[in-house]
Amino acid sequence: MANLFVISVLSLLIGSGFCCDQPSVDSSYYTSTNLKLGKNAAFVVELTVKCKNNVQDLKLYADVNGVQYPVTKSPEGNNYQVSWTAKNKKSPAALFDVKFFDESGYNALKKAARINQDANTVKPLFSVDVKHHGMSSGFWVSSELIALAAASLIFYVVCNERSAVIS
Amino acid sequence: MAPKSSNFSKEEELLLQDFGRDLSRKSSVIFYVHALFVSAIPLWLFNRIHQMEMLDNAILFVIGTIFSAYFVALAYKNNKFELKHKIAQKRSDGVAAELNAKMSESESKKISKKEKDERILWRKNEIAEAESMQLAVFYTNSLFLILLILSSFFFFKSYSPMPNYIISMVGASSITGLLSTSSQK
Repeated sequence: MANLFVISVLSLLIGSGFCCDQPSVDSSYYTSTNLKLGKNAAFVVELTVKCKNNVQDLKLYADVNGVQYPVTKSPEGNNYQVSWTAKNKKSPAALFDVKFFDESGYNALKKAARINQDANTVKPLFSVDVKHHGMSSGFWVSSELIALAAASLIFYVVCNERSAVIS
Repeated sequence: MAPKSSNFSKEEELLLQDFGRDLSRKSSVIFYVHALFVSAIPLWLFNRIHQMEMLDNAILFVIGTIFSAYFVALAYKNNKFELKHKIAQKRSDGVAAELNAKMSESESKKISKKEKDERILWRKNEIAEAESMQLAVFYTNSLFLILLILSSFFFFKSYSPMPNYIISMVGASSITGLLSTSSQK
């Protein structure tokens, strides 16, 4: 009975243009990898969403490992962006499955959390895979120092050769 | 300075050509090509590391490369001249031994001592020319690049890219050219 009710509401919503039907997503993402720039890892996901039923101004929410973040929309077009940070220790190199929910999906997710139901039962509108390579502080010797050392070694060898000729 | 005279004998002109400071056409071309190439290397460095766009700074890069190439080529010329005489002196015995070994006994008796000496001198000059050019190019390039790395990435690290490029290129090439004018006696 409850399922029938949900289906009928969804049909109404799709028909009225509040629900996105068969979304096509074009996404890109950035994750910080340089430990010298900050101790927390930063993630940014940008996406363009096109619905088959041409729904505009979707209100979206992103779910990353059980934590929800609001998704901001650009004033023009269907461009969306979500960003979050996580402590470096809690974000090793991994593949994140970022799930995106519309309003109804978000409400269902909240309800599932309230009644201690498994959140995986709530189907997302779409999901985006974000590959995080992990953060590192790089090599302990700077590259210009290595270049200078190599150049100095070559110059030393050449100077020796030249001195042997001139002497 | 002695007045120029065009009354040199053929031998004297050959001697001047071999032991003078002036370069042959071929040597000049080799030096200028090497100098342009070495002066163009920092463009990649400034483009990739200092984030200087090639098209936006094209005029500056062209002027800087030509300026640097001129002084590097000057350093090549001076270093080569200084090294050639020393190399010729060092290789003298070896070249004489090589030529004597190549010539058979009958051949050695046929040609005069003067011609033998001329052959040795010519061969010695050829070897000294090639070796001095290579050593001069190697030495000048390594000096120029080490000065450039030091100035661009250490001394003037905090400068913005454009002044960094100007100071590094002008400084490195000028100092390289200046140091080549010194002579050891």
